[in-house]
Amino acid sequence: MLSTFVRAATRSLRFPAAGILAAALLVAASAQESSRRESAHASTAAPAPGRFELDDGNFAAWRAHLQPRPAELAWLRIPWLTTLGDGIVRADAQTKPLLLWVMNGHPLGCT
Amino acid sequence: MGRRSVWSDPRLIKIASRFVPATDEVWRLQRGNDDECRFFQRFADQGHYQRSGGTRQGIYVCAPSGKLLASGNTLNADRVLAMLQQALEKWKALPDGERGLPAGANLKPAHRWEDSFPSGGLVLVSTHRDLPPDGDPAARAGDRWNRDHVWFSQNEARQWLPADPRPGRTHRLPKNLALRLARFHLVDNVRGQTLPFAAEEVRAARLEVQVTERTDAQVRLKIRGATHARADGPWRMGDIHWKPPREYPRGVTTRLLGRATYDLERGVFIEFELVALGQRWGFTQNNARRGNAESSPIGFFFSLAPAGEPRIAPAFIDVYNADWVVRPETGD
Repeated sequence: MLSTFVRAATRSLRFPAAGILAAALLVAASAQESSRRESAHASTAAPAPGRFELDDGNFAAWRAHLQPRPAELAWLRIPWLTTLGDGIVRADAQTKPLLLWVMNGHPLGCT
Repeated sequence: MGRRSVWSDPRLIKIASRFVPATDEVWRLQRGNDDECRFFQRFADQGHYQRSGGTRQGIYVCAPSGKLLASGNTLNADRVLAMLQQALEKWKALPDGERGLPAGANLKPAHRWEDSFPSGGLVLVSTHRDLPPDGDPAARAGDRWNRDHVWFSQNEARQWLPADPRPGRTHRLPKNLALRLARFHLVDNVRGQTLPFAAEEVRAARLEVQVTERTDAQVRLKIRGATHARADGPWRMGDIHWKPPREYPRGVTTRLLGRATYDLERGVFIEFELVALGQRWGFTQNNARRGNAESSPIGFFFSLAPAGEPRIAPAFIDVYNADWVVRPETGD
């Protein structure tokens, strides 16, 4: 399909207006084929294992890579309570306003 | 992303001490009918969305009385700082009679998943990241990452090792526990929430646990395994709130290696580290992979939740394959 459009676009280069149309069709065909490839890939079997070997020799290195760095946990220096209700009760006891951060997924978990 | 761009900002960490800071999961608060949910909806409906219904994600400042002082939804630390400073000014100006929680107010929720917290069980914190394309663990880790909690009951925790844990014995993790990891935790949520896998979409989930050493009551274990989950598209988990509006072919395949120590006297794990490396592909509605659905490397790290870790339910607790989880009467 794509090669048909390439040939058509090449022939059309002698006619500017048609050439522009052919170029547009070429881009559209490329995008369509790319999308088909993406869908096809997503539905095929798992990709072959890559170069990510995991063994006793590199376990510590991968653990260090995956663990959050201290700077990535700075937000936990704020002493977040874990529910609205707990927050309101404590805010009342301490005569302070409540600062509430809410997300789809608990902010202290998976968001 | 708010963790990094907003709440890691030193100015916001400092100003937070002038408030009582709290977090919560908004999907329940914005939809529920118990007293806690209604309390939230009353002030949230006056906030930055300026309407009833729909998402209420964001940041809110209110008096214990429920009087809204400020709200917004932004990843810009400067804007959040300005909002909090304005909120403090409003709090200062608020008459005493409008500040406090009304007498007799009840904010007890009808149900919380955290009530099913498996005390004495195996509770893990997980970190999920994209991996460097060249496979070099010494490379700097990317800035996007996510976390979750994993729950196994005390009875399930014991099933990670053989009934008679003698050195050299190898034990296969029971299928339902391996499935829990593959379906709900080895998922591509590095950049945002994603979907779980149905049981039949887990093509392989095998973890072998070997007893490497036993010293009195302490049993040292080595964990090896592999998982492969692939969803071809059609939704297979019934008419639940996770059901997406369209099909999302996707998958995750991993190899796992870990170490753990179980104390037979105390009946708990005292050490647990598990690394999973693999590939992900496809995308879902909210996991920010639409632009890169092609396969790429992904990694997971599971470790014991530290002492003092807040009790936060796993992301997919409502569909967990665990009969000890207490579900709400409303069916949420």
